[in-house]
Amino acid sequence: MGWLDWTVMIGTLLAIAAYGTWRTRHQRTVNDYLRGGGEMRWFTIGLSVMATQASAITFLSAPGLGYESGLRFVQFYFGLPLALVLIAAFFIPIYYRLRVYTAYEYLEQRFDLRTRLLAASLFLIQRGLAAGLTIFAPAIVLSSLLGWDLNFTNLFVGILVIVYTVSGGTRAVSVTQRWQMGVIFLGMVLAFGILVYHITQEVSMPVALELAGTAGRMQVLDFSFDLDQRYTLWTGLTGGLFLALSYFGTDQSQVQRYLTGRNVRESRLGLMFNAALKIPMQFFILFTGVLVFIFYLYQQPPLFFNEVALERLEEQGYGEELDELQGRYDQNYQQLQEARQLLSESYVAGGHGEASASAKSLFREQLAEDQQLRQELKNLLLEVDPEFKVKDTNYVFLTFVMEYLPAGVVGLILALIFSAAMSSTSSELNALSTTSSIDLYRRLFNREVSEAQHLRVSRWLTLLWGSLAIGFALTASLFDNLIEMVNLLGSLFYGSILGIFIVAFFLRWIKGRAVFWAALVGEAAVLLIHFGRVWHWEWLSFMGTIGYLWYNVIGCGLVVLTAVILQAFGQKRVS
Amino acid sequence: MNRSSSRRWRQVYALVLLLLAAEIIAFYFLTEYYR
Repeated sequence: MGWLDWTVMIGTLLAIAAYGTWRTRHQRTVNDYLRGGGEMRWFTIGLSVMATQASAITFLSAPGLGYESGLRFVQFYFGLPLALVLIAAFFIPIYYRLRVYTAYEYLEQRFDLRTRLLAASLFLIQRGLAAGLTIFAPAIVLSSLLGWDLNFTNLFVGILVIVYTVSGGTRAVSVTQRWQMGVIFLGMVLAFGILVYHITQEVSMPVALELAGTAGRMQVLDFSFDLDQRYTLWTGLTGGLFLALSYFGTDQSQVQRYLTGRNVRESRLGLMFNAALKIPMQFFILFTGVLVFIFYLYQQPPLFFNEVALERLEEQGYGEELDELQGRYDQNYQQLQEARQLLSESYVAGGHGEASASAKSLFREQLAEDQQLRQELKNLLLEVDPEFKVKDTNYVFLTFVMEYLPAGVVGLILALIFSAAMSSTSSELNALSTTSSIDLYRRLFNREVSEAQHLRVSRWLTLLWGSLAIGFALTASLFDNLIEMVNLLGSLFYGSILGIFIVAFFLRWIKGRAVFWAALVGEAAVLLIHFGRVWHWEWLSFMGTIGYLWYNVIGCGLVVLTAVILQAFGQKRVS
Repeated sequence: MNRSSSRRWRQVYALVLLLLAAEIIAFYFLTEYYR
């Protein structure tokens, strides 16, 4: 990486952080600090919601997924517009009427204090751990690809975010996110344009897309009802809907974004902005990955995208096996190129007839062989270390960027990855501080707190959560399964929290007592199901290998059902 | 909120859902074309 890239990257990140800190240096009230003064317009809200959701991993893994398996992942987002419409129609007016700072505040007004505290605590545990991962996950990819020191990368991102989030609060989060989204759009459009340029030097775009289609990369929809298939139209519309409802409707890091609006109208429009743009945007990112796939049909890609792993194999004395595998891989790539050439010629000639069919099947055979060789390498890696993460999806896009993009653009793409990490982290820290300051500190310990004191406490809490996140990121590499555990934790809690909110909004006759116990029952059931599956309990075998996504649906459904039963039963007993 | 504003919001929501339907239909044709 040359000086130009360093300058672009560091310059962009520092400029955004400095601008955010300077622009929002005068925060005098808690309303300013935690709700951005309540004066944001829809465009700022829309970008803020989008920037909060798009983390660094989105930009590392989505193009990788596009490269590896095509456009299918976009189905996961089909439930999102539905969820945002429900939130805009039912959640937002109530949040505004009650003038709440946090989503959980509403739960006390609707039910009781303990339900509010339960939901707020579940949020704090889950988000508090996840905030560290938002910093750690891209840092590990970048340190492995670029040889940077992992701790330095964690500290750099963490401290920069803390500076402006502590200083300017919610307003700083929104102001910086506008610029961070600008960097993200610019970077993605540039990468896309350069990919199209490279590809069209070799082949026309329609033929290139036919090649990708033959390789199964252009198919979006999967109508199968197979529960083992993670991304189908049905999981997207159902599981995706529940996930988006929990995330956008009940997770303070999102709720806080649209509560900064000037009025209901601005908040709703901000959400509709996302409802309309999220799917096209995700499609665009995945499609960029498909273009990377096409590009690598003309330039040989590495056998494994995380090169550190290959070095490790050599160090462990597997050099010979690796060389042999690499030799077969090189040879197969030659044959793959020949098959690709044959196929593109047949497409240019019209793409029909027997010759075209045989070219297609030859191309597919070579691709399957290519996959087979990659799998052999993964097996070898697992032989050396059974715990090794053999997925290299997150490394695909950046490997391409580092090798083929011009100086300057590389720095911009790295700034993009960091911007995405920072925009999510700042929202998370801001939400954690707001929840602990409003739902715990002011509610439980100091109801008569003065404005100045409350503002000071909120700042300190932001700093505390930021430091915890950095501390967590710095130690995350010490524990192998930590990342999975934290991601899992989210899925385990989300369903119950959503259940509480669904009852709150849609089943007005159910009271606090019923919903509190229902939430505990629902949560216990989800934990039981999860650990039962981990320990292979016989009676849970009918659930197969359903993914974490379904825990949301199960948890939410159980809470609602139990609350209905408890309320009905309780009323009968009273009468 | 008055009645005309809530009617306008219903139209906005309908538009967003129509867009989703249109996207799914477009994806269907894309999938079929490259099958």
